[in-house]
Amino acid sequence: MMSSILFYGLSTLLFAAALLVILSRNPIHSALWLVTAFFAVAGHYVLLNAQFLAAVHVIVYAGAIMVLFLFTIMLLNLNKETEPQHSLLVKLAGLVAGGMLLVVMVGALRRSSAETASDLATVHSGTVGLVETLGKVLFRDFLLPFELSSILFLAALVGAVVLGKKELGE
Amino acid sequence: MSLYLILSILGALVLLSSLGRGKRLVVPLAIAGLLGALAVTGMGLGLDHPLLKGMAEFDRYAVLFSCLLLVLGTLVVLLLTNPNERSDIPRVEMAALLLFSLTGGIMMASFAHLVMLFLGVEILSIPLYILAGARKRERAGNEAALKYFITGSFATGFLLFGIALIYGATGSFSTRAIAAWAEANPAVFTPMFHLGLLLMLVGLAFKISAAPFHFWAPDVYEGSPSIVTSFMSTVVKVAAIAAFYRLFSEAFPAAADAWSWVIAAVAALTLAVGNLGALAQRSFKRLMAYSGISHAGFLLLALLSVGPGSAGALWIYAAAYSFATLIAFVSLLAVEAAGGGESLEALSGLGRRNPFLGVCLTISMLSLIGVPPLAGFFGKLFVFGNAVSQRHVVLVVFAVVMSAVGMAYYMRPIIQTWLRPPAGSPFQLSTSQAWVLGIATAFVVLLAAAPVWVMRFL
Repeated sequence: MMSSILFYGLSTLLFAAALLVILSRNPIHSALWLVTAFFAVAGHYVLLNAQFLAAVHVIVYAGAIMVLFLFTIMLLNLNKETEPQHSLLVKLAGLVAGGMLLVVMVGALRRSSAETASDLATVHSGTVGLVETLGKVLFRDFLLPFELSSILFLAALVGAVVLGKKELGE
Repeated sequence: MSLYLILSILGALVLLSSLGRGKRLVVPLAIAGLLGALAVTGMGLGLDHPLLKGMAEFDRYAVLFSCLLLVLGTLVVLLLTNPNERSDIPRVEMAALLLFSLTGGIMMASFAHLVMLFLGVEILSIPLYILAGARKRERAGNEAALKYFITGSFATGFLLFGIALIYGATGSFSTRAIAAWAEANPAVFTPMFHLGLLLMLVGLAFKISAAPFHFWAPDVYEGSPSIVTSFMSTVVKVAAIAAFYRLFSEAFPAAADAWSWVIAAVAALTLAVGNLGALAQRSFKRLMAYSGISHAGFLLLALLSVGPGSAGALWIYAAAYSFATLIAFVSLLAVEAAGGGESLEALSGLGRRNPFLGVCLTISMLSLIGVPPLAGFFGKLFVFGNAVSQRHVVLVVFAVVMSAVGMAYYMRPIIQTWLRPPAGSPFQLSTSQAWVLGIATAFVVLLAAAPVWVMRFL
């Protein structure tokens, strides 16, 4: 009972924040609403017994990435005047495409709630989200992808340096 | 396992070689490493390792596609020796990023676990987002990089959401377990599973630039340096279609009723958009971009007829397409180095300016059309044959009509090469260009002898 009240409360907060992200005129407000949305998602993680994931989510997304966002917005001095204006046709096309995806998703997931609920219930078994469990899975079953992801970071690092550095004589 | 290790260590070594006076050794080092990796793959040394444990599997399909990717990667890296390429990214970093990207491609050809598929897609793509913007100071370069990055990230989002839904429905990331689940639940429509399947289809269709997810391709191809474009249109396309086929033939064969008509529709649309779009192009690079789109449609036909022989047909088609495309881009690089632009007119009289290049380009275009003794013909023959045996007759007829349309635009470079007055004085190819051209042309001609062997192997 308690958890379903929390679930619906967090979901309402998440929806409202997500809507405000795209509806706000001011990019800074959008970014701040995005932080709210991230916190609501972190709350959902806690409800699912994924405490570690919730903490990491807050630190990485609401912390590091949002700071980056805000810095970018401020450095580029984005505001209403510099916002690109889209024609009505583009807006309409976006609305139709997004709306169709929404209809498909709602239509599909509406029917799936009853039949998969029993499978998903296993997630609630206490220890699943603890750091210890996560570490064991990560370094036993997922060791290869974990190591290979370092290539991804190395490539991104090289790219950031190469694209960002000043050339000689600049 | 050995292959992942060799390639990632090679990438790091290449980066380290920029310290001190190692810069001249970068390309030879990379080539030696890639040839070593090719030998290891060919002999099957240490490919399987307990650490792979359900994550990746180097079966015959993976080995054959890894070999193709390694050969293509080696040829592109060989082209890096040319000093003429306009790019603000130094050669060392370029070689390293290409090697990292190639590692991702090989992960995509050998995955047995959706996490490996996702990581492979990302490791393949992220270096390319950077390389697409290698002309830092040009607007076209910035546009290419940004367009590729934003649309690519969006497609990644679809892929990831699809993977999450599939996991929610089946409780596993492993392709085997997913296939077993799909077989045990033969319901006509399981919402979460089928939605996940379709979202993954969208994500991968973007990577092979199939319509209606192809909009990025012409602009990105045009804005990137030609050497990066050659990598995108060969290695990336082959890796993406290899992953596409592997996923759908191993994880979702039991759900074929749900996706085969979607793939059929996407293939038909891709064929139409690619071939009709190419007719209107004036730039050779954009022409090749649309050619790449149209060939994605032909490759999807192989996916549509999953069954005995279809993997072999896919490999032959992918090899024929990518070697011929590589020749086209080497020609473009050579013409650019000789002071020409990217338009079709820059190819004027190429046959008299450099007969070897003219002959190679002609062979490549003829192979892309599908003229009999060349590799492209066998690719089309097997792909169409398989599709017909799976009763996709209408689609094959449409594909044949579209290849006839293809003849109209592939003839234009040939006409420019041989029948128009030279656009400049004769020029020499650099050694590496001549080697790449020779090797790729040899493959296009000699692959004709390979089909039986490939079919038996796969």
